[in-house]
Amino acid sequence: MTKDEILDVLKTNLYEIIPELEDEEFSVNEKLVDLGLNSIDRGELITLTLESLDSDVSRIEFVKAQTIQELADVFIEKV
Amino acid sequence: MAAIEVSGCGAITPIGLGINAFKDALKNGNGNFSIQEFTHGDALFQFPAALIEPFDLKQKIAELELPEDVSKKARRYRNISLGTSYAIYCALEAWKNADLFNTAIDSERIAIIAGGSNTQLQDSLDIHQKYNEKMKFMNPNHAMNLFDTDVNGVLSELLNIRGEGYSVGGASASSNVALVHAQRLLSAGLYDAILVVAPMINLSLFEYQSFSNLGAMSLLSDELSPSELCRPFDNGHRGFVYGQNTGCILLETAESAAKRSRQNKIAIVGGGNSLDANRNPNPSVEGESRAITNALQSADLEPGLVDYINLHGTASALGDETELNAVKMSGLKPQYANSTKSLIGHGLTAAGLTEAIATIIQMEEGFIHQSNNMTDPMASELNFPTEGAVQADISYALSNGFGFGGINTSILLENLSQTKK
Repeated sequence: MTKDEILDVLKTNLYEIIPELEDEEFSVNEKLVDLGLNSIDRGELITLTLESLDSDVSRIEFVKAQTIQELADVFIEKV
Repeated sequence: MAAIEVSGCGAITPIGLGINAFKDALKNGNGNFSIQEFTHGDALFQFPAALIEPFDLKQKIAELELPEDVSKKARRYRNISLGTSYAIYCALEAWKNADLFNTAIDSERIAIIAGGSNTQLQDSLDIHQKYNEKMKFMNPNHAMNLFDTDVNGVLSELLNIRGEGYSVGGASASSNVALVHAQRLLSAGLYDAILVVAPMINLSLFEYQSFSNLGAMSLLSDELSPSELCRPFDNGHRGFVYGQNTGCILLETAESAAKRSRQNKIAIVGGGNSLDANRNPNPSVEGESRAITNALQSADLEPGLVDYINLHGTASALGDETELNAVKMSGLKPQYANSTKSLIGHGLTAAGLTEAIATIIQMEEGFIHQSNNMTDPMASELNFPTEGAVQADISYALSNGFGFGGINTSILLENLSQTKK
């Protein structure tokens, strides 16, 4: 899977969690907190994306990722 | 006990979404019973039920015309149970009707009490089934919404409530227990207002079938339509029919209401609870009568002054007969009685609160709604309107709620516009 494809999956799941973002311009380099994701939303975004990719990378691997881009980097490296 | 006033109500019932629609349906005596179907493996299971008509909750919340930040936040909640989502609407409607968006109360002087336990049964089952084959992807939100108090968290966040909050259970008397408890806290001066909420208990096939196998729930019939199956106080009674009910009442001390220039008509002036020392579903005349008497004594009111009783009346043969005897034993001689369950089914944990709202509406509007399906009424001294609503000036009303495990409750409401004339 390419990084662009993973970014698309992340965005689709992000829209599921915060539908309003679909109508907004935002950068994949913005912090998740600034996009309106609390810690539960963040956990859900990771779980939904693992589910979409049928992968079971440990949640611990994502601890330092603070943006969509950084999450995608972990997925590319570990999946 | 001091008068604790009803400042606002909200309701979602099978016969009306919102208080005004519920009011109109009560006046017209509309019931709304249909068939709930489940497939389990290759088998089809069917049960009679009073179901909330499908509707667009976000649209309905938008129609309340609330402050935009509250409305937007309310519409954004996800991963919450159906009962909690309905409770959001009811709480917002009660808050609006209590004028609390305009005249605030100190947030630390408001509490939330939710009536009911294990209300999210179908919601939990859906989660179990969805993740059964992919456990490692289990939705983390389940860890929050599995608690009955998720509704307290949601409503406290939405309405900035910072007093105490929890859920109380009492089987089918749960939300009457919640009302009695709220009235006690307010009477003790601990809060200025309490939001009492009863989220719908969302039954799954497992609960429908267990109530049926227990013999408590009415089965479908070839001879009778679904609307004819719920027959409280009729000799043809066949057991209860489940009803999807959600309600919310904002109770407030008279002092706080006066400060906000509220002209409330209805007050909860008494409440009584009792136990039968019995684990089983069967009721007790003595226990029910004791709850009624406790309610009257807490308000220092003579039983002869009660004009109307909203009976628990589930349409269980033994339950209805026991309640009629308990009413008699308590010395009550009301002008009228009825069973709201004959219109909206049995809301189980939410029944007490929804029926309290039905009682409040009838007192405010001066009518008694008809009791349906009483074609062969049980012998009693009570007067049930059966041919349309009747006009009545009610000064004092009782609303009963009884639950499995010998839990008996009764609340006493006063119509201030009648008694303070």
